[in-house]
Amino acid sequence: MRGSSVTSLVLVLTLAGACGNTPRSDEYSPQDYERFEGLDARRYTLFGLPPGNGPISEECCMPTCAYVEDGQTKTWTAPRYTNEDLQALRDDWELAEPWPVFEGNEFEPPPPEGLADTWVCGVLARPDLQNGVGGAMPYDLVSYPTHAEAEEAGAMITHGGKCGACSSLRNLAVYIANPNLTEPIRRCGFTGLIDRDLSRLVCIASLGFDLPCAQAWDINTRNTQKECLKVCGDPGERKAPGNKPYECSPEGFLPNDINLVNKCLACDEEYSLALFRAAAGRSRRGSGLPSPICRTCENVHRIEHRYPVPGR
Amino acid sequence: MIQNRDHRRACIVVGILAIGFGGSAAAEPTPTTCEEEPATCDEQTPQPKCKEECTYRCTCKRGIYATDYKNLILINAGSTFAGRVELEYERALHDRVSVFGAFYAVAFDSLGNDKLVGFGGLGGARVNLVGRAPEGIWFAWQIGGFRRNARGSQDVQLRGMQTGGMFGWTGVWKRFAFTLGAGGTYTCGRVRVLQQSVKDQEWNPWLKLGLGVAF
Repeated sequence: MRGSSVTSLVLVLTLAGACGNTPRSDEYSPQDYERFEGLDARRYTLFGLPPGNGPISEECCMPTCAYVEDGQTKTWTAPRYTNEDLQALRDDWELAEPWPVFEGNEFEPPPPEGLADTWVCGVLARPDLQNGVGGAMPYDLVSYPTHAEAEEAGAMITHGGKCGACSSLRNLAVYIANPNLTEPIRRCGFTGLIDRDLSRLVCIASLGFDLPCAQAWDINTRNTQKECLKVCGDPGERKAPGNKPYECSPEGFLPNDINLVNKCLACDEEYSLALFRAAAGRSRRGSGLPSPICRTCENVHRIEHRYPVPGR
Repeated sequence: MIQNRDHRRACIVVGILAIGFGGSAAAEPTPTTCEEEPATCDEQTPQPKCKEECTYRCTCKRGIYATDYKNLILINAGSTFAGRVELEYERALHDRVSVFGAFYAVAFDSLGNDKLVGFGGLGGARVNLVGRAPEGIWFAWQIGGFRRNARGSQDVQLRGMQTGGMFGWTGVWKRFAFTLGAGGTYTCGRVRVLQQSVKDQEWNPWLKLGLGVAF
């Protein structure tokens, strides 16, 4: 009789890698900085944390920038942050008014004045408001036309450029903890088969971002996929190093030498970067945080992310 | 007599469905009476109890899809690439209609310290255009709901519902079942992070590659 011969079933499914616990290659590690100790940053002007086996050696690119102040050449090295520092960014401060979420899947065009280099985003404590969860100090994010005006107002500068969806200190902690955010966010694009967009947003948010910042990265990813599908779909391009091999010399580097050779990255920068920066506000360079892709020092803001809570 | 009546009713239902959904079903004779349902369709006992008017139910004996099985348990292997384990049960109600239900769990590394975990369920019906359910070429419609959470530094939730349609084919060889399908699904959901939330909806392709057993 049909259906009568039911037998016991053993279904074994092996999910190779799906539950793997491999260490993250992009994890923040203080050891990343130790490679650069003793190197002379004044001779070289590229800022970044190049991968140890990458095309650019530590001698040519380091988390240090040379700058001139009062007629003297000085150097500034991006501070190291401990896990306690990151926890303090998450726990000690709470945005008084959450940044509004994006209602659509596109960025608003940036304002006509563009991204003036002089603007800065400041953290302004609001001790007059009731403390947040766990006694966190409420704060506002305020854009100031100049560095001096921000200091005059009593704000602590958190990045160069106007404030945006990723300017909060919670998001800063994610930027610090993930020197290479591009890779985990790109991989988030592979999550979800029949709820792809929603899953990608959840995946990005799970890195620690608040919702508006996760949306900004998500919209940026969509734009990149739309505009750069061809080059970014090429596995060779995706895995290509950000910078081309560069031999540093005592004479310094030539600006053309750091052109991006990764076409996917270059396409992303061409089509998405300006809109993303305007929406997100915070950038790695604008926050003084090194990334695996070496950049010139001219747009790096020398910021130490220590935010003492007033009255404590 | 009760059995006869029941089977007649079943035949009429199948006939209506066959006419309604067109395809090869419409060309086949619609049974009107059946005194006794055929016990099996295997070749050793060709039509032992089958009456002429019951040819509709006996066509399987000479057809491509000569299955005796009414039930399938499948794993959607296509979903496992995204860390989703989906287990589906399908039961043929009639020659051309089956219903199915699926449960899936998601446990993929979200590449941070967090893990995205979640579960969902869906159910629906398949109507066979060719062959006898659960085998053959079919069209399916499904509806379901899901929920996901990110474990770790903060609370991230996704809740949603989805519905969609799919064309596909299921084959059974011995006891092994294999199914392929493609279609589209509409998903609407709400993502909540800390105190903020946002709604979104999307259309996506829906692909199925199922492996399992029939019984």
